[in-house]
Amino acid sequence: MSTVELKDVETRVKGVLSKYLGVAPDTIFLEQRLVEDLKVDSFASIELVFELEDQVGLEIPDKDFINLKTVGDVVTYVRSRLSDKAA
Amino acid sequence: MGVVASNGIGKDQFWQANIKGVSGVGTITKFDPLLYKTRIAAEIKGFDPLSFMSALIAGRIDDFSQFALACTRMAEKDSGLKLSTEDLHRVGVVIGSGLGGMFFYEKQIAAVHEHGPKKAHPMSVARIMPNAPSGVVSIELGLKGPILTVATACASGNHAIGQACDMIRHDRADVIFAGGTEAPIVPYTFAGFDNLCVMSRKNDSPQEASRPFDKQRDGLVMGEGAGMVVLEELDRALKRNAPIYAEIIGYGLAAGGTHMVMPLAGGEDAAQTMRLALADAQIQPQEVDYINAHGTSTVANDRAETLAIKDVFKEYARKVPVSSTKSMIGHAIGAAGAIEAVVCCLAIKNNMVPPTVNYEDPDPECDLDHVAGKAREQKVDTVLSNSFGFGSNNATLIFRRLK
Repeated sequence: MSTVELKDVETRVKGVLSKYLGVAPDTIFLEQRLVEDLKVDSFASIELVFELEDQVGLEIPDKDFINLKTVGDVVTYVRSRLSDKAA
Repeated sequence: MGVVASNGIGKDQFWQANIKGVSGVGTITKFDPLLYKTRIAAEIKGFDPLSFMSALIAGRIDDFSQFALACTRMAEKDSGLKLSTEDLHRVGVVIGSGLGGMFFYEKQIAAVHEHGPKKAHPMSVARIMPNAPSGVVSIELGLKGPILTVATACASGNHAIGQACDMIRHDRADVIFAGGTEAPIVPYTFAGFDNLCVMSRKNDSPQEASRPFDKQRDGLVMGEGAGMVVLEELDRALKRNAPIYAEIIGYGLAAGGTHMVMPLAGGEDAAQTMRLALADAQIQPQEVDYINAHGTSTVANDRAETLAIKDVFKEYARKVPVSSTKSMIGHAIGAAGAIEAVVCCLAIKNNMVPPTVNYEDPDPECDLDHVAGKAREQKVDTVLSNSFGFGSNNATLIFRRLK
């Protein structure tokens, strides 16, 4: 996985979600809740995390992902992990 | 009915290709075949999964499930069934596949070897398993009746239709979508067949490579695709004015019990399978108007099958036309029997026997009427279709025009 720039994270996260959910990327917003709004159940999250890890070049532990409630939370989390990695 | 074959997608295009003797064989494009002894196959061309399913579904299933779902959608439309008004607990699906989702399987194996176990997709098992297509069909159509997968290699399609027929006879369901599917033209799987030395190496003349019963043959040509039919209890189908292609009147299944890949040289097991199907149909051999042969284009199969036909049909063996669909679309393994079932139904509907192409220099030991090169117009009321699979799995079906 090539390095992901911090400014690209939002696009990548929305891209993974839109592909997985079969909807256009511009219908996904940072405020949307994964479970309640996007219907990402615990089973779907397994596949989603797998795709996300591939796209952002990170390993995302289940215990971390379970605490992410919105699309924005995911973007913030990925950015923070990438920044830590770069530091 | 629905069909995805290398010489046509959909029953109309497929039938026209079959009666015109159009070959679907060509140089392999799905991977680089340079290092293989056999570099040709009958690949599906121009298949757009999005004509039959959403991009979301297409992206989540292997090619063999895509083929099966596409054919099921075609069959549903052709049958005139309105699933929205059916009791879906009485509608089932039975699909045969010899190998499973090999395209996705091979990709996962490569990823794990290269990058470690974390790279195996979490849905790998569900995409690769041989019963993925029947699961996909049942979920997409909302079917809640019997769901079953059979894996009997090259006979899977015939066994699937036979088992579905038995289920309807036993009143386990009113309607069953039945057929077979396969997508085996992938590097590792293909290499296994390559090294088994069963495939034709006529790499410079792909369309002439599959030549069942011909002296110049040098093996089978790998194919891919799917075929699905809708089976329905007869009175019920009549009551709703369903378009009925044929009745399935006979199903025979038996084994040679001696070898994993070779048929009995005398064709005894093939003969026994045909006899069981004829007995099940309660008809005499002379009532069969056309035999759709297994006809793989291997010396072992073609000779054993010819002997078996002679043994069962006696002097009538010289009169009954015997052709091989595989001469045009290669051997689509678990899909073969199901695609050939579509051929049998259309032969009855059109009173037309499709040809064996490339039967130009007859093997003296394969001297039946193999309908060389050109389709033949004739009465076709009753058709017998053979499939014989690795593992010594044999199945014969008999179709008859509804009287």
